[in-house]
Amino acid sequence: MEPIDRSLTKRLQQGKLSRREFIVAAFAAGATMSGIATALASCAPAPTPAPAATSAASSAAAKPAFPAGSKLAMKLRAAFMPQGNEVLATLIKEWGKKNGVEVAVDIVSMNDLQTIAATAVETGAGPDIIEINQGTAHLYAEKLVDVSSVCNDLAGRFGGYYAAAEEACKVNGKWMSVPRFFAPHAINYRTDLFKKAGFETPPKTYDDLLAVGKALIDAKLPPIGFPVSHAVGDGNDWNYALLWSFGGSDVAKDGKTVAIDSDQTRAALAYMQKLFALMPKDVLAWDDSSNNTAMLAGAISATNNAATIYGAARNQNTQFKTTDASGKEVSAALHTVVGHFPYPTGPAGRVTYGEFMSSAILGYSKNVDAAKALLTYLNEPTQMNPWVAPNLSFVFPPLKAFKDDPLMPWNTNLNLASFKDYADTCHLPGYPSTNFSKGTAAYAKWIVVDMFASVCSGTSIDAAIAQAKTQLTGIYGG
Amino acid sequence: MSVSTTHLVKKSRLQSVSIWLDRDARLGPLMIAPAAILLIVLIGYPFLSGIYLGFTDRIIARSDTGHFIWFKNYLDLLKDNIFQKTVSNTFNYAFTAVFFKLVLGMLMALVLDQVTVLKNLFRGVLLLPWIIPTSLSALGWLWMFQPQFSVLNRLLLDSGIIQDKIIWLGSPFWAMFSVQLVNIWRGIPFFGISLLAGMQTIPQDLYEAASIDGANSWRRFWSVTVPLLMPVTIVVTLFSIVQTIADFQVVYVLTRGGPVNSTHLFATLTYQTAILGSELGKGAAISLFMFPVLVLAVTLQLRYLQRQD
Repeated sequence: MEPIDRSLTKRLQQGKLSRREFIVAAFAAGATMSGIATALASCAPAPTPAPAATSAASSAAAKPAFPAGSKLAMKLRAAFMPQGNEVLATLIKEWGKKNGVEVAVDIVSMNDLQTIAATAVETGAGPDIIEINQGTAHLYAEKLVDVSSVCNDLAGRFGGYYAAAEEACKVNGKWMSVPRFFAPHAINYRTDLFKKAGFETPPKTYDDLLAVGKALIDAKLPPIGFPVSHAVGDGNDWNYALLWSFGGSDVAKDGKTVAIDSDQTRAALAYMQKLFALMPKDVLAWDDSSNNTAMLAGAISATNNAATIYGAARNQNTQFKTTDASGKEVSAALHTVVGHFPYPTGPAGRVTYGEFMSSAILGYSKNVDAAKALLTYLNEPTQMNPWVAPNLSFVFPPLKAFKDDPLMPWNTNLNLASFKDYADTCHLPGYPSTNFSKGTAAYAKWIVVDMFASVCSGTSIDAAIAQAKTQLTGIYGG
Repeated sequence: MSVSTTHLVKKSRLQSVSIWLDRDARLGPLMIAPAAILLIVLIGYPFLSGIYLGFTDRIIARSDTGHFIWFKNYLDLLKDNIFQKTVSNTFNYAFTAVFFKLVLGMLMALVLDQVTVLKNLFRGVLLLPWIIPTSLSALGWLWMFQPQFSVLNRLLLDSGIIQDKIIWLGSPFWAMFSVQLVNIWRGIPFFGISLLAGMQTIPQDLYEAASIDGANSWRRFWSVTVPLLMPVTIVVTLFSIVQTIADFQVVYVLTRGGPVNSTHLFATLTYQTAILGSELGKGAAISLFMFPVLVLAVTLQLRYLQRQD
């Protein structure tokens, strides 16, 4: 907790620094959000933001546009890095004050969000805005507010949305939820251990990955580990990407024919059996935090994850034991040896799974206009940048213009560069069809993940496919 | 004058109320009413709407669903092999766990019955597993089951009991074993304390008489304690069967029904189907499948209690 650099605060007060630049710079210097908030408050009235960031919507929102006493309740997903949550809460509070809207923000875990959302749409009571994951907008479309005006405005100003964001939120040509962020994945790996096993450059294909896995075992180094389990984010991410990159899919392009029984699926399952032989057996029981824990403890050499392992190691200054040039045992900072590389390519290229969140406005909300204005505000660069920066690469904006923004973590931190092209190859369950409603239903039942898990725990490939096929037929055919 | 009139009127009103109430047929229902209203509102209504939902194809947030489809959900479920697996999981989970809870709970009661030093301390401490919120203690167990660094494997490896790490929650067998273990750990005190309370109502002179007749301690347990404890044992066991079959928290925290559905119970499958999968109708049908079993258990329990009276 370092106090904020005096010169920074001074430059902010003199208007030489925009608030956005100030927040980013203060974070880089290790300030806490409460410190930043205090500094910002002391500099009122706020200097005008940099001209590039000014938008029609935010300048319109400068005077209170909503009836006094307007209220909004919002449930958001807790980001992995606590600083990110603090920034978000502060930004929303600031907007509420400026616009005369009392906003109650509740930051909760992913699992709670799913239950709250289901209850809200079913009972017609609850928050005005809720963050939903994956293709939930397709499932709840009937009870959500059409937010096409917000999305078209943002898309027009900031380079359009990635395909996966559109897959998740656009239902029958209408945007039913505002794309919020991807939790971008890459392979997190121990650069030092890969080197010891003889790999100077990270693997490019799934076969290369297998080779590394084998070399690590042969060298008696910690193995690789990828979740084959009901881990909502990491488990789905790894298994869907593997299936798709081998050319397999649960459904055909028509969105009706179950396509799981294919040579491509068989190849993916056979690959998984080989990979599983090189991994710790508890990958079958991992939750979303297990691979983080294992890697932070030095028990595995690589896993699929957002950049949160690197982030946590850096935040907590996690140490690990290694040997120096003279062979003496020393401890060193773990984050210096945690690197990232993009998902491997398979026979069908690189097709990844988009772990995705969007913000939906519930149909029963009494303040739809305020909710829309708030969502527009939150997705503009002035607000997006200070939120994305401390989150490292846990959040990746779904609007294309952000990718090349010099303030994005993958452009400021070399170690995160692998995340930059993340969103280009992403898709949602239901791919390659456009039947994302049924795809999401199949996803919710863990059909793909369970298929991979069962061939790892002894079921034959044919039996695993048959089981998945029966379940999928019940979904896509029904 | 006017004051005393009101007083009189008041008094006569009070009297008439008390006369009106002086009949069991009126007073009885009135006394039961608060509890009955609570039950109807908080349990009866959700229960009936659950039964209704189970007969429909209701899907969350879809107004084109909700048609009455009779027993289709139930027939579909009977053919669904994940559901079949859940049925066998639930019975395996419940009966294994209740058996061990009964045996170990009985042991706990017998030992506590003998303890005279720091009696209340021991009783209090042994009740802890049952008092701590389940979701919290299950989280503690989740850490202990962590195969690479955690205490269970370390202890077993260091003491030479096992040679390889056990992947507690990663294989179907060990995952079921683990969730059962936690349920047993949590349930023993309930049996222990209930049985202990029962034991202490057994008159001491029966034991003395048995001793004079030459009965050893095993014989005294078998011929005096067990028969006299039977009413409490049956009630507690049936109650625990109901509780265990309907369990959710232990499994949800530890495995979420995995790996590959090997620990799904009715309640966790219901949650996955109805809330995460949006199929409210089918989810309701799953949760109602256990209803006949629970009714049977409760009926037996009530009948037994009535016979005791």
